[in-house]
Amino acid sequence: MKKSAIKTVSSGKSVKTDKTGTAADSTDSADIRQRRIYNARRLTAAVLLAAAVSATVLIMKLKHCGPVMPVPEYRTAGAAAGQTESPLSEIYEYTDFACPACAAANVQLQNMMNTYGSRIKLHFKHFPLSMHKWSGIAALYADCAGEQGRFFQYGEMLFRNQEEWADKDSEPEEFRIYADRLGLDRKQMESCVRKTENQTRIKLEKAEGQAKGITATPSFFINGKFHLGAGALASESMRIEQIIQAEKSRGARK
Amino acid sequence: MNLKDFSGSAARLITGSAFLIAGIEKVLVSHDILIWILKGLGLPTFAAFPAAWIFPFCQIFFGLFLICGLYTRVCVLFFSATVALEEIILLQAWLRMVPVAELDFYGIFLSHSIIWQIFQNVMLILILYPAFFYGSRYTLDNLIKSTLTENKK
Repeated sequence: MKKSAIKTVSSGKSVKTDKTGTAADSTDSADIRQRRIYNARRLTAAVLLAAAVSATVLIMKLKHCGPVMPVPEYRTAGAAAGQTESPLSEIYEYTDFACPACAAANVQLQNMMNTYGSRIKLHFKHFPLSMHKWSGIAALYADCAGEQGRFFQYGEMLFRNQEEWADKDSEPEEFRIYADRLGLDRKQMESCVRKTENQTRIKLEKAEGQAKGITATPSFFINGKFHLGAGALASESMRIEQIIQAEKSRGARK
Repeated sequence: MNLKDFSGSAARLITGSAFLIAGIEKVLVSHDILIWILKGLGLPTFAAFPAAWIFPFCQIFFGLFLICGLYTRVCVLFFSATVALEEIILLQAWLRMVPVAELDFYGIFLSHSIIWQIFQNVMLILILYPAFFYGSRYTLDNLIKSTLTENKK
């Protein structure tokens, strides 16, 4: 029979050992080793999971996924809620009132809306570029015109007369003149422009655009897909036309 | 699988998924917007800025760990603390009657339904309870432990 003795280890615990004092020690150190391996493996698993989810989120960000700030009702056009025909296209337009390419795109978009208006849901988003001094203020005035129900008309005036106001040194008087031409309430307009929440909304909309990867205007999200420039509008018109024709021919056969 | 194990695992999956999705939403939205949401709740700028950068990633990592069952109790404690803190922030916003922004994959909305959000958080804390006490079965922690035991044999 083996004799056992009590040995005090460094941790202060008393452990039974045999005559040579090795058996219990080795079990103890094996346990510590096992614990270390367990912790290391847990940590490795955690790092791997964190890396995998970070990569996934990064890809989602690159693909412009994520929440969208709601657009005020006056900045939406086209398909109305509850209409019988379902909208075929949902377009988010990020634009700058002082950008010439945006003015050209606006004409194209208007033609598209005139033809297929009831089948398109359009959301207008501000993206005032920092190189255009007055586009942020123009966006603000347009929103305030929108609060009086004339957003798209005011926007069209801004686009059409870009060269009159875009390069002015001081705040263009044109913003007020256009409001008068549309018969908007000047007092209401002025107080609306001064409201911080309206200014913040435009700032946040630009931040949202930047988070979605927008660097230039006009940019579009057509049915969730990102397009830079108005080129995609023509192909989207053709796609809508094809669907409408197909619907018509199906209806005729019935 | 007994009822306790089932409730623990289900609680882990539900809360982990909720936090993971919430974290992903926050990362995908612009930081400026997130800071605006946090400031809207009454958080001072010095707290809103780091919270907007660090907190979403914590939610993502700990949410995923909770789903997989890695460091389960640490994750549950972290989430309990953050939900409790959020409750305090929401309560003061409710007392001051400020609308708060609700964030989900379909958009960001200004909402006055703070009570609903407070209720949701209470439910989350309640679900975290079984995750803490009975959520240790069917976890990655256990799987790692079992591989070590097999090696030992």
